[in-house]
Amino acid sequence: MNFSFLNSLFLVGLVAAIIPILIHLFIKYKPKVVYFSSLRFLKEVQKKKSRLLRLRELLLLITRVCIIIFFILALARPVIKALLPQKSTSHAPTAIALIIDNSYSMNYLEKEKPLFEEAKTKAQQIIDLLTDKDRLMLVSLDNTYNKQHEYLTNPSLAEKELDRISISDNTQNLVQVLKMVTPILRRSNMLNNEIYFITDQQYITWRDIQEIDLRTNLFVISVGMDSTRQNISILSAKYIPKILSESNKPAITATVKNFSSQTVSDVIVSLVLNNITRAETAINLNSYQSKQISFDVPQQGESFHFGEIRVKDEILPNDNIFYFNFPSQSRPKICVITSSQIPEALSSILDVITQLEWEKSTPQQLNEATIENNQLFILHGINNFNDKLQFYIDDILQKGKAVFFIPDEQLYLQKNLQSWLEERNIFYKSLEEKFASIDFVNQSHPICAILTEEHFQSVDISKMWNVTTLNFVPLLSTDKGNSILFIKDNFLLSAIDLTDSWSNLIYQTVFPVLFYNIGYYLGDISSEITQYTVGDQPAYDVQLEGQFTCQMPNGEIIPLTFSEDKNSFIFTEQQGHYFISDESGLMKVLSYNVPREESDLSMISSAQKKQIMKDQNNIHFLISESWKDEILSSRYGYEFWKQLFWIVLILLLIEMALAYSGKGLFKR
Amino acid sequence: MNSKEILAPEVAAKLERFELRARLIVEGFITGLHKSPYHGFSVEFLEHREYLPGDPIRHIDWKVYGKTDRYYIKKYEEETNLKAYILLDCSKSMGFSSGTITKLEYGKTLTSALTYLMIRQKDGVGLLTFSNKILSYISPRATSVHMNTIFHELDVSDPQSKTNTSEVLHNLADRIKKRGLIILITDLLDDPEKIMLGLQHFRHEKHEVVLFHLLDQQEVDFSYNRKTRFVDMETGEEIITQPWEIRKFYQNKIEELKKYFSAKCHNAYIDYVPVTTSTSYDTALFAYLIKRQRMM
Repeated sequence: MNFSFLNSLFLVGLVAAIIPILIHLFIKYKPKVVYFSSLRFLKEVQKKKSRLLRLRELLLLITRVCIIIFFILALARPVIKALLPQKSTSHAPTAIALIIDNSYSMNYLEKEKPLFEEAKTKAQQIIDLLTDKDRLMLVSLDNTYNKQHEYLTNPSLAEKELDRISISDNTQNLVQVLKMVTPILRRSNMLNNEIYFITDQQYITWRDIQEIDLRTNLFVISVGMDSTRQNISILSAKYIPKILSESNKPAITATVKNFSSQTVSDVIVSLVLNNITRAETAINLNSYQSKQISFDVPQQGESFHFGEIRVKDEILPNDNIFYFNFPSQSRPKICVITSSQIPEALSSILDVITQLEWEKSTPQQLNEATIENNQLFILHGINNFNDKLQFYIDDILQKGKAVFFIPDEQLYLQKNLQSWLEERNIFYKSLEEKFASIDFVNQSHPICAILTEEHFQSVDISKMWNVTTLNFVPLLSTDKGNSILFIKDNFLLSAIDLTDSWSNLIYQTVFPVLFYNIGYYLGDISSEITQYTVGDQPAYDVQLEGQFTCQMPNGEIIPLTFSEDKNSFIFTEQQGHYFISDESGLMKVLSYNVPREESDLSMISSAQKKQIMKDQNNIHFLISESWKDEILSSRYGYEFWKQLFWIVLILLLIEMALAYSGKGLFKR
Repeated sequence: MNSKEILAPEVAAKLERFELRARLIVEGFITGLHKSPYHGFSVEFLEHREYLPGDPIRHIDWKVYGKTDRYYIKKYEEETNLKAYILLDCSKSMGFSSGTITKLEYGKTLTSALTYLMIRQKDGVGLLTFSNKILSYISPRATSVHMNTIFHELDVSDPQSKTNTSEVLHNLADRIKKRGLIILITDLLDDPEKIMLGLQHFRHEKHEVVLFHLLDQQEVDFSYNRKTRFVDMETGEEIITQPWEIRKFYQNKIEELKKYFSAKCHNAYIDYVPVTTSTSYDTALFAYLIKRQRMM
């Protein structure tokens, strides 16, 4: 038998139990003296009553002490743990939400067994402790499963559902699941509600936990002993279609990351196209290092539709493959946002690379549709960088679309624009009018991959902005040490205007090549839509309409309907290729990948746990060895305080009866 | 002062002299009687008869002679057969009081009122005060001088010593030879059976007996609400108790005592009149008058 208290601070009040004893022992009232006519009758009574009275006084004292003790104990909420809790049915009926973490990180192998197996074993152990009086909701982090199991049921019925929970590629974070389960528990009308969460304690699971106002106790039960988990993941893979590269071939670039504190060597990364391994390379990765690898796509007669980049890492296989496919068409979608004229040379080159389909928009004309239709936005000659334009440019960058900013001489007058740039750590400091030539070309970047310093030999620069940036990669630099082209992700910056008063670059033969690469690298919309994250809907420009069939990654074939405003393709929970065909044959391949946040297996640290428990009082991280006792401790005897209050009430009645029994006690 | 008001013990107690008290009580009582059903007994009874030779000349009513020219004798009923003995308990227990007057004080006032009333009716009244022995004895007479003697004796009587009622009763019963009326005023806090034997002794001697059982209201109610040390007024013994614990028991005991005397007295043709120090005097006087009428 183990005895503890939920509000142990109240136990201090037990000291009050000595008050009646002190009163009884030390406080004697001085009796009033009355000269009475005769004590004949009083003496008779005194003989009879003295024993009874003393007994009654003793009973009163004991009752009063007990009232104080039981009252304080009830306030302190005692918890009694039975010796054999698994056989005991003495706990109060409880409504329980049992959440099993089934994100793919639970597939991590520890002692040659996935963590998910251990999680299921623990879930089974919890179910075994429940009785028919309890109600259980067995849910996971998988929204599709949860939608069908949003109810409380008998534990024995819920137990049957346990086998149906499996690792899911498409999971929600914990907060969303808690938001779903807590109202259901509250509606159960059961006094005791508890949530158990069985998880590998991956940090990412706890994202946004401070957002929820959790009023139910959440007990976190961890699986897995190893605190230094290892994982190698392909974070991304991208098809670079027709970019002018050295070999002039399309290329596949992939990012591989080592999510562990140990260096790994000879990691084999391979390119698979149309199910055939085309290339392999071995790399070494330091701890938490990511590397970009580029594979040339062999030019052969056959046409490739889809492919994968694979890495061999058997401990957690789910993020070892990154699926992608080839775009059906390749044409950059470019919009020039300008308040002034566009240089002739620039508009000509845009005509060529977009096949005359580029758009021009003034800041005032810019709208949602223009943003949706284009991928690269060239900002040139903006004379009024107002709030609306700023909102649209932010929106463009947030949507993963690209911006190419070309400054003019009036930039220093545009305070709004300057402050917006400064927020992004871009500082156009001063306009320098001195001759310079280009003496550095960053060939490691795909935009400049085929270009050398020689190509820029005859380029003269007479005027340029002195620009400093943070985290931007220079693509072209001058002999004066200034860079004139920078890139960071999808944001390209120029230090010069593309007019002849600044430089003769636009008249050089290298300019169309450079701009072609910029256009295709940043503005090719097709390279962006060739991959999706599981659960996403395919983009509207799948450009299919009618009846189709779809072969799912698991081999299952389902019918599919696409119409202009509606498509029924909603089963995208699995990662892999979805082959969409009609009667004439394969029409399109959609590639879905698991979200890569899950690849980082970093566990929640004890400091982070403390912070979470501080923010949310109801969250309890249980110790892995004694978790079973811990969860029971909150349940066995949970309502014991009620019994104590009843005892106090009964004792009060006894006390009152004893105190007022003077009339009746000696009644004959 | 209203005639009824003087019959309240606490009002009468304010008058120092027993004579005054007695007179006021009795006058007030009689004024009340005119309106009451007990209207047959008159203390002013007179008879005239014609003068016969040999009658004392001083008894001739000269007023009647003046009106009628005949000699009429004014005849008083001077002689009476009734001799009343008032036995007043003066033991220490009679000194108990929870309010303005003690039981003894009440007893004295009642005695004085009875004395006044009886002497006015030309009955002889004697007084015996006692505790564990006879303290004083005044033999019965019917003169107003005698009344003053009694009042004086009442004045000087103080509560003293223990009670031994039965012995006193037997003693007195042996001494009184002529049939008379015995009025015993006591709290009866003595052995009830012995007291009853004493009273039956009087009955045996053909005396009429009226027993005034005099208690303080607190002795009946026992309504003390604090822990109290009770000291026996006669013996000095002490008991500490919580009165509310034993109240019921005590009340039962007092009730039993009253019932005992009531039943026994009824059997022995003794008038048992329980009074408390808050009982109006007329209640006690009525009891006497009823008895007196029965004896007529």
